[in-house]
Amino acid sequence: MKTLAVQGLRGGTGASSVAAGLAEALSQAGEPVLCLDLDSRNLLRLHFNHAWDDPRGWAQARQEGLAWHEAAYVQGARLHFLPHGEPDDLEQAQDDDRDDEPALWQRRLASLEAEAYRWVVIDVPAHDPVAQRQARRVADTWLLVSQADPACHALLEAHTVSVGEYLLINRLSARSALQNDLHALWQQQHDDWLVPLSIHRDEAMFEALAHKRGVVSHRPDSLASQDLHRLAAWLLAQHGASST
Amino acid sequence: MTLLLRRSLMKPLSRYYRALRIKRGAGPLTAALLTLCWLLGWALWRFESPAWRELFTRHGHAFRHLRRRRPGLADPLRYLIQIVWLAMLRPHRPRPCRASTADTPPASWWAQAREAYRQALHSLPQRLMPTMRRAPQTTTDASSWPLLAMGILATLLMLLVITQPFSLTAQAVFVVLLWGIALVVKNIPGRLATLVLIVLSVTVSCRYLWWRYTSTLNWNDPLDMICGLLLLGAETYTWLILILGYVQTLWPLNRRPVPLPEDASRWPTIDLMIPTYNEPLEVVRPTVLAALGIDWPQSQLRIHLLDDGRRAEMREFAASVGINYITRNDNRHAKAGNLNHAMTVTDGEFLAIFDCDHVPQRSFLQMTLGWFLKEPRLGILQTPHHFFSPDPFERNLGRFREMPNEGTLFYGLVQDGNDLWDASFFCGSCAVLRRSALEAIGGFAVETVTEDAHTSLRLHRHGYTSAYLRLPQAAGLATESLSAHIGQRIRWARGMAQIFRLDNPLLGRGLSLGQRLCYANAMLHFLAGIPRLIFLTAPLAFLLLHAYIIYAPAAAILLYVAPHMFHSGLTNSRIQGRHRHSFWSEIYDAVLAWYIARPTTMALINPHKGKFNVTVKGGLVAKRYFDWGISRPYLLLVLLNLTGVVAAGWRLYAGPTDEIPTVLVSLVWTLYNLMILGGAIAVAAEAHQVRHHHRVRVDQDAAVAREDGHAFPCVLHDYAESGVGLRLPRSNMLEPDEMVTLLLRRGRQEHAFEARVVHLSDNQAGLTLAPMSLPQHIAYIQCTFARADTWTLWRDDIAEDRPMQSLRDVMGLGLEGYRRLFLHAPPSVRRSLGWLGSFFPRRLTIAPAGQRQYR
Repeated sequence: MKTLAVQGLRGGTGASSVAAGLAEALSQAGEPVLCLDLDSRNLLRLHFNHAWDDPRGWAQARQEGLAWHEAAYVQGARLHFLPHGEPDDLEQAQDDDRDDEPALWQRRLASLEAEAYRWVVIDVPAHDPVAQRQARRVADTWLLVSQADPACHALLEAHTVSVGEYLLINRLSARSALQNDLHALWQQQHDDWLVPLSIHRDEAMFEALAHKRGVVSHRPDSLASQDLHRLAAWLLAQHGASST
Repeated sequence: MTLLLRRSLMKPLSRYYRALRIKRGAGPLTAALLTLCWLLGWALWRFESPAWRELFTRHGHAFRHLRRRRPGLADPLRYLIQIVWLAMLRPHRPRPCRASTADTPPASWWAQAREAYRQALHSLPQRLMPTMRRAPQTTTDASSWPLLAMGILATLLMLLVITQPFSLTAQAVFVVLLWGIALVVKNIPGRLATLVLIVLSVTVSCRYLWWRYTSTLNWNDPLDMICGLLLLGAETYTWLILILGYVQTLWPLNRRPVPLPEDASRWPTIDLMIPTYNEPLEVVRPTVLAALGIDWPQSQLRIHLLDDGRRAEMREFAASVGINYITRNDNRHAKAGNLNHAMTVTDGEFLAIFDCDHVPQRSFLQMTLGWFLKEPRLGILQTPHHFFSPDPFERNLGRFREMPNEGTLFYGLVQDGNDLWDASFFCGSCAVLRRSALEAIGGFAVETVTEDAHTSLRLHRHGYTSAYLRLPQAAGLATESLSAHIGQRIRWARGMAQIFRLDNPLLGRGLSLGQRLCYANAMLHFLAGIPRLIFLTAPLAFLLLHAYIIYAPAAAILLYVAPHMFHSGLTNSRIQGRHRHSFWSEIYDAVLAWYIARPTTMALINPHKGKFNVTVKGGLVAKRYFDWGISRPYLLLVLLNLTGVVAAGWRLYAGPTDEIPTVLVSLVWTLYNLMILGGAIAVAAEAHQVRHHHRVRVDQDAAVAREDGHAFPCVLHDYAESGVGLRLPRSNMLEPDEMVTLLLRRGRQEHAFEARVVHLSDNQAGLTLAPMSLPQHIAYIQCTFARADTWTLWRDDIAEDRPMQSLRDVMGLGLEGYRRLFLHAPPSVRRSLGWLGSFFPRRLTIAPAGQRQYR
């Protein structure tokens, strides 16, 4: 089982959309996938056609004393997703979280059947250190989603790269001279951890969320879908290379 | 003390003895004797020392077979023999077994034997070659005399084999023997086997020619003699070309690029020259823009547009992109004069020359200049001319990128073979020359119409060397129409004949023997016109005129001709297989034969006559048509050969019976000629070309972004200077006349280009590019024409030569030629022939989709 965390370098880089699309692309490549939302804003579910007023999820299940995995939904033959859920008392739940030991998810994922999932894709919130710390304990690959813009460039200057971490450019538009320049600059500065392919800016990505779907199932022939399929193939290749 | 010694000795001894007895089941006597031997050995050497231990463990496996068997009394002898054996022989390295062999059912003994035979042949060179390779290194002056002696002996034996007259039976045995050897040797990889095949082929062909000269001429009948001598002359010519060809392609050099110094400021200054005369701006622009994108320090690369047309349009264009514009008041000596004039106003250390339609890759200079820095006497380095559009042969036959074209043999093999003899020569474009070398020979040669070959001949005469790098570093347009193609070849042929007369490479100072032979072959090659015409009509001499051109019985003819053709075909197929397919060159030669025959003869008689005719490129074949003018001589030859077939029928029916074998041989020859002529005629039916700007066919990833923000992937299907063709994932993805952004990748960088949709059908879309800024335009050329990977896959997809398959293809092509002839014939002829044809049985045609246009 390979655990992949997807986190935005800052808010609004489209990390959740990438996580959902990537989970779809991986499952379409024949890999059983569990997609997991660690963000208390509970938005990843909207990519999976989840009912707006359905509060279920792992955080809510815990508050009600249920098993954490009982709130998972079947999204397709090989794709399961687990929303964060909306506990009645969110602040209480967050306090619970803070009390949790960092190895919480490590323990939980270890309790899964070994062959149940080949990939666990975790949507990690950009501004929640607790969730990030927990995800760090389980993730062996970490995708840091960013946009080729000056804000991200500044944040990257201060960022320390950890093992297994990769920088992914989302919403790349070759029409923008600034993006082209930053892209070229990053290829030099961040060559060792920059993913060799990027996700293009594509209206289909935004439309997909409006349709409450992931972009790969919503617009299979869009450029963003192709990019996600290639990203999935790249991850599988990385995985294959590391496991042999 | 002794007790202690004895105990410490007894312990290992008894362990050794017990091991022999119990573990390996030796008899008591044997075990005792062997233990004694061991003790004797032990008394002399310290077996227990680490060095010995290591020796035992390292080489233990070499005695495995002895360890496994029950020890015997003669074991010391066995070990000794094994040691001697190992000392004399290299270890045998087993090939990795295929995993599947264990699962598959055992093959029949015949298949096993065949496989073993094949494997043995394959491993033969590996066993022989190391010694072969070592041999030349150890040869010094002192030891070269045995080689010389062997060479003389071999030559004498060869002479004996060639000149020895044989009875028909003896010749038959000889032929079968050589044939058998060739069939075995052809399966062995490596150059040694190729050399053996060449020796066989040379032997057989020389013997054939000797036989022809000594015993097949009829001096009594003038007609026989004249026809016979003509044919013999043609055959001598082909024999000469064959032998020279072997010399030329004996050992292709396959040179690799030499890296440049790290410090780019030490790289030399380059004058990149693009001569043009009347080519339109659309043809010149990609070349100039690609030149601007070449990776080289900007201060050390100057780009010059050499416009002999003195066009204001070109001047403005040069100014707009910031390159130098050079022109002159007259057009003396055409391209050579143009370049010479440009040399007077420039001063870079090196000249890179590109025809205005050869688009250089960005790596061109970095790949080529290394050799110049390494070798100070290097005068010229040539790279292949690669074409991304089909030449008329490929287009009219619908075989673009399916098989090697005419140029492939030359740039894939011949130039590389020349390089071994330091005789690769300048081909006018895609090359770098050293200015000091050019100045030493007085600039580009202007005496002939092929200034390129003549210039490099002069460089060689002045002691400069040449190099050839078989890496396509530029690509261009092939000539458009057949007539233009033939025009170009006529110019080459005339120029080469001129050089042969004015500055014969076989004479004069400064050349090595290899260089003389290579140049001579290059020039003689273009004199093929008349011999080819003789071959196309030779059997008619007997069928129509009843002249015995080969004055010998049919059986003898077969016994001499067949091996000559078989061996040369086999050997050439082996040498050239990846660069030329058997029989196809017959068609190329046949098409050119008539047209180069006259100019070459004229040039040989009066080399100073003849003007420079520019090869027209970037033109347009407006409509599918049949070039009657071009094919007229071939129609005449077809008619003659058809008459020959009729005559053969009549001779079979009414002639004397002892002539029947001769008639049959002539008939087969005539039918072969008809097939080749059919192929030549098929070429003359020009497939039409829709667009003015050449569209380059590719299959390359691309993407399109619409104005509403949607983007989708597509395939770049073709590109041109001003537009592209796309294949979309499904239809109705774009609107007509819509503005979109085309995304093209080059390496990891992506570029966006604004474009308008001008053509939509099903899932195909045609886009016209919006006006671009200069950097954008350079980026576009780099993403398309100047891409490194469009032609680095060069020829890899082309299959090896399979002579029998080739023969079938050429046969089909011959029939196709007659079909096209019929389709384009005047209606009255078509009607009457069509009526005759309606009686013919039909066969199913299985043609690739690309050929549909002829239906």
